[in-house]
Amino acid sequence: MIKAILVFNNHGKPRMSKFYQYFNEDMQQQIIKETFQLVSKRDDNVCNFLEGGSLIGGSDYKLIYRHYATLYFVFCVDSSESELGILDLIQVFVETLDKCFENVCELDLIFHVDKVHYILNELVMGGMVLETNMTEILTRIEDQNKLEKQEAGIAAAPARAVSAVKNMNIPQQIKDMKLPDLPQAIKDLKF
Amino acid sequence: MASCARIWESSQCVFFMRENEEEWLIQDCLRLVKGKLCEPSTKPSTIIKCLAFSIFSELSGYKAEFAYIHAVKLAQYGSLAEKKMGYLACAFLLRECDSLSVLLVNTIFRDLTSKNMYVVAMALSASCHLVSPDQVTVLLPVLEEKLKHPSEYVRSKAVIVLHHFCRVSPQLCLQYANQVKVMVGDRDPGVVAHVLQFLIDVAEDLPGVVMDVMSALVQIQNQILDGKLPHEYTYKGLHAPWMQISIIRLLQYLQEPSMDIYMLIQKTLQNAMPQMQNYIGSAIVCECIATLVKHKAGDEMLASALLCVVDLMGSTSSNLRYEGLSLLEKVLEQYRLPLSPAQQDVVLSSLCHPDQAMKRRTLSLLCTMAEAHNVEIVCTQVADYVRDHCAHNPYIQHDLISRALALTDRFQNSQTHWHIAALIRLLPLAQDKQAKAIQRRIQLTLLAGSGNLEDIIVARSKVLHILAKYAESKTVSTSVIEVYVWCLSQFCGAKVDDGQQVLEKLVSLGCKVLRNQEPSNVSQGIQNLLISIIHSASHVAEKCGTTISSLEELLQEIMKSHLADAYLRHTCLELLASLPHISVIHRALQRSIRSEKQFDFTLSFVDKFVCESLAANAMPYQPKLLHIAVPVPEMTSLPSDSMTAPPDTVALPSTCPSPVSSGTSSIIDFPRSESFSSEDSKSWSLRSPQKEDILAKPLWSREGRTKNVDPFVYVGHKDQLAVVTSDSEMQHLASLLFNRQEPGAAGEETSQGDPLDELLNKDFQKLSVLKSERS
Repeated sequence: MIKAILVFNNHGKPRMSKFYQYFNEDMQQQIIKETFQLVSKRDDNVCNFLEGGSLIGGSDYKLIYRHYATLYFVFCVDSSESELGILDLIQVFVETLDKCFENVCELDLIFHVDKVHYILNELVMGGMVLETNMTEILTRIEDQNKLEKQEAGIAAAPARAVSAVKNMNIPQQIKDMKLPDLPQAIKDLKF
Repeated sequence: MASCARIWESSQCVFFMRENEEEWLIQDCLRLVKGKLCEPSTKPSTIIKCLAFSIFSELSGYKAEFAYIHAVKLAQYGSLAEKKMGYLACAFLLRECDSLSVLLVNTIFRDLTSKNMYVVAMALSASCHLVSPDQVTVLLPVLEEKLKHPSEYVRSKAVIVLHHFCRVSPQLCLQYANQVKVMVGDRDPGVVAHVLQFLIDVAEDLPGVVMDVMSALVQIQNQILDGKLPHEYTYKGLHAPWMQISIIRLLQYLQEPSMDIYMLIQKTLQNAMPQMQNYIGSAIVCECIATLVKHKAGDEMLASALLCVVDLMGSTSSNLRYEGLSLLEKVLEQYRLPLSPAQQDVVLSSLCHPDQAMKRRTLSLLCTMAEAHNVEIVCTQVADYVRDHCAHNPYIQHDLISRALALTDRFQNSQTHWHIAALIRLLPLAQDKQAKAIQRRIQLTLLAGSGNLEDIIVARSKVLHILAKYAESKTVSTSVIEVYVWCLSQFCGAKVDDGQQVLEKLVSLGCKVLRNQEPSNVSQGIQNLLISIIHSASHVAEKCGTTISSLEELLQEIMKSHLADAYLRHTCLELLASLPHISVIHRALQRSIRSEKQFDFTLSFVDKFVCESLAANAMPYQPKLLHIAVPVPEMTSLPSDSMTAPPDTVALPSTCPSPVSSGTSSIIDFPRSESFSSEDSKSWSLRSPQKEDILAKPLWSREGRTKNVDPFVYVGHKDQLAVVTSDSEMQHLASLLFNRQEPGAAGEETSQGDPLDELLNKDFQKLSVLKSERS
């Protein structure tokens, strides 16, 4: 099981966090800080596995992390997960983000925090791996986006009509109405 | 619109700001967001953006509680996009125990019955975060229907939700395991993958369910290896690698695997070996080897597996090397195989590796493969690692110390007594229960160890010298001093002079404790130490039939300075009351040793005295457990932080009745060893504490980010990582661990010194845990 997924930058600022086990808000912040402290002091040429800290740790839990440029991606997992498998899962997650955002960077995680979560929700759910195929994840996200747009198109029609009617100033339009010029003869007709 | 643009611009600016500016900006934006959300005419698209910002601000540590109800409303009544955001925000912002989450259960139930599969999927995802264990029963029937949904997307999620519910409420949900089991035959491989994960989790509780699907698992694995799955399940040249890992792991639960199973594992191994340079390929290989080892496969099967272990250990990738060491440990747990010199070199270099995770993995391996000739050096390495790197990780500390203790039990040597030296090294590093266990081991070994009496007497004398010297060091833990005072009392001579000498030492120690303790913060460790000193003094006084005047003064002083500690005061009063009669007690004990009378341990002969005293309103005697169970309000709280408590922290016992007030004549037995417990064995100095130089300036601590620190300064630990182990040190380690001869020592027998003598010459300050830097 995956207990938590954390993403923070080189200065320890959290950019995404998802906990699959209950921790209150203060504890979550402390876990992020402690994890940053553990992970940031490791060189880039050492292994990507760490025993968990005192807060999120336990004899059964490990931190598996990868460092990409300015961001650390950390998965806290128990012994039922394959460590090397999780390493590749982090790679799948990052590649999916890269595909979605086109050369993903830290700003994308800040600006599109909801989108990042939607992608993660297609990868991991309830602490279990849901999908490992990047193409499949992207297809699901696209299908949902299309459906939402369609729904917005149909559902917005009545709203657009109502707002169009509201914008119409009928009395003024009647006043401004210009009738076509009738021939003089019709005008001169007398009854 | 303008305010939304401002909020998003601010998100970008947060990227560059210092902490106090960031806080001001985010709080300002939150005020804007709150205002927007409160307006009745706010568009749903704006609400979505406001909720997204609320998620961002909570992630950054700034609460946005006002947004919770809007998230709930959006999830309840919104369109597809709005509902998606509403559920996401609720899953992030709310907890299953929150009152607002209760409002969502009906929404989730309703959405689970929706005809739109994406709405169903959203509700399933939200169930994992927002449904509390006691609400699970509401959703189980509809969840069971979703297991048969036409869309594989929904079926996959339904299996995961059921898996999650089985974790949180196993007694309610394990009955659905059979429905899930049947889905092993699902037409979609993705659904099957999730069923496999579910089966791995329930295999321990329901082995029968897993056994039923074994033949199906074998078929699936064969189809995977034959490439019959759709191409989208191929990853890095391997077909459905994560599914393969799950299947091979499930094969571990077979009781007696047939040859077909072994052949299947072998086939999987052969298939994955060419991809070992990829992590996922190595993951499959590791799983296959672990399963073969679990089933104690024959030599032929194991040979090819062991080649892979050697390849992993020799890999240039740290991750693969780490996995190789883990695998080797699993192999050596089942098979006692010698290591080749090349493999020994890999183990040695991993032990001296600057990466602490690698070193820790290697230590576990060494503990597994320890033999009588190298167990001492292994325990020393473990103690050094725990001392230097485990101050803030009680789990690793506990695990490594447990392994070292197991080695001391297994390889006790009554001639060298290396195990006593190892226990003394480990004692200051252990916490609570482990420290008590180590104390008891030392006591039992010294009281009645194996071997002849002469050797034990010599060992006792050496241990006493070691502990006396240790007690003088600047940083000595209370648990060590407790063992020291116990040894003093147990192994002193029976003559009056001997007794007085020891009593003077004990009184001197007690005075130092009182002088150096902090009046405002008396730790439990100090209290236990004082109790140990008093009990030891009592034992010596009774044994030798003597006392000294300074002992009474010490007891009075202790009572004065610990007014709130009723048990400590009672202990002092007991000894004070018995000191005037000490010679009588001494003679009575002498007679009892010589005669063979049966003793009335129920103390029924004092019943009349007790009843008369109680009738005269005297206070009943309170045993130690009762003191702990019913704490006196004025007592200082225990210093140990519950967050860093070791994993086996014992819950406080329930209130036990006093043997007197209960009317029973049983005695609650407090063996002498109980008084040598140390619930707080942090280091404690007999002299004035001195500040240690702080070498590195950390950025973060439990209290938060350090103020006034340049954010671009990293913690200076990286420079300290490059521990260079010299060749001579490596060769010395190799000679100790693997019985290799050091260069220049060819033809000579290396003489091993007495471990206790070596310990006596150590700098005891370096044996205790170093205080780490905290901001």
